[in-house]
Amino acid sequence: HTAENTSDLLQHVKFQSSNFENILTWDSGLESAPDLVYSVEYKTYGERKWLVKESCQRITRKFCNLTMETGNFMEPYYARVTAISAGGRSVTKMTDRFTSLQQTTIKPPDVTCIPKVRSIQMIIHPTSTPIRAGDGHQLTLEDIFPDLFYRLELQVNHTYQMHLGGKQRDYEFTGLTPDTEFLGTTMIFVPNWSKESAPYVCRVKTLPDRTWT
Amino acid sequence: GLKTLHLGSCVITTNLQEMRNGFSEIRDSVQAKDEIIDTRILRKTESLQDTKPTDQCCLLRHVLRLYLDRVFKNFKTPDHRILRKTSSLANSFLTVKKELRLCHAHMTCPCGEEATEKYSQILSHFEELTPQAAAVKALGELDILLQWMEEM
Repeated sequence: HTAENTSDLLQHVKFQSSNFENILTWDSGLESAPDLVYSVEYKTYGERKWLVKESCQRITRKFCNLTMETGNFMEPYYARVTAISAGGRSVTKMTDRFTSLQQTTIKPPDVTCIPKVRSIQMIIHPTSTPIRAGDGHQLTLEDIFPDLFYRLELQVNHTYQMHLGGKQRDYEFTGLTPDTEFLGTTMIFVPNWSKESAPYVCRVKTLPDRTWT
Repeated sequence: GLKTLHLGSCVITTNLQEMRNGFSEIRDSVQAKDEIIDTRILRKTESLQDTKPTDQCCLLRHVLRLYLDRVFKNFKTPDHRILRKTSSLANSFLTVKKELRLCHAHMTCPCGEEATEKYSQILSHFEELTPQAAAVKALGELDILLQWMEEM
């Protein structure tokens, strides 16, 4: 750290992680010099040596993907950014300790909503993550979080909703009125880690009933 | 929320999630106080899950005693919110330790060579630091210890 005030060069160095995609982000100050370049290093907590992230050296953008470098989701990591101005001023700032298992957020699930005459089927697709098992196959959120479950809601009218939920991925809301629009929402919950996703929302209309036409 | 821990032939239940939720509220503040980030007390080489089952209970019992006697007691902070959370965590640790003592009384918590060796390693990492720095670091590593327990 240089003695002079350089806080305007670099602020808010932190990991932003969702579904184990770990992106290091930062901000420059209000009146920072446009000619700033940034360099990123990272390390596992407890190690002495900082490792250079090769593709994020002397960059002008304010983010760097460290997903692979922080791929052990139970391991705590640190990252740091050095900002250098053309005039030679520089400052280095570090993240808090980061463990993706604890700190990653969960994105909304990917759902296919299939309207029928008197029902709506909702198929939730597995969410893969960048994390690979020992044999190289990509882990899904369900692999990583054994207590993960889904909660589905169908807004029938202003006062009435239908609810379904569980660990399986195929659901059907039945007993619906044909040719009517419904709003379906699906969320992921991981109780053990107090995580929940934002909702996936689909607006879908049941098919007209043509049996008597 | 209750989790059953299988430590060899010692089986106990504990509310890991409650501890985890409690710690997550103070994690960033406590970990930010630990400025010595190139060393670590709870290392993979001494982890509970990589210890043979018969020695797991003894190792955990000694580590919990370390936390109760030299971490929670030595951790100083003017922040009352953090103090409240750490004392609640200490109470949870005390409950777990009592269950382990029952196993000890029933001869299902033997201390073999592996547990003794690993605990002495953990203790030496701990004692490389001043008492206050060690307390801060160990408290900041509570998520690691909870993860070890989660995998039992």
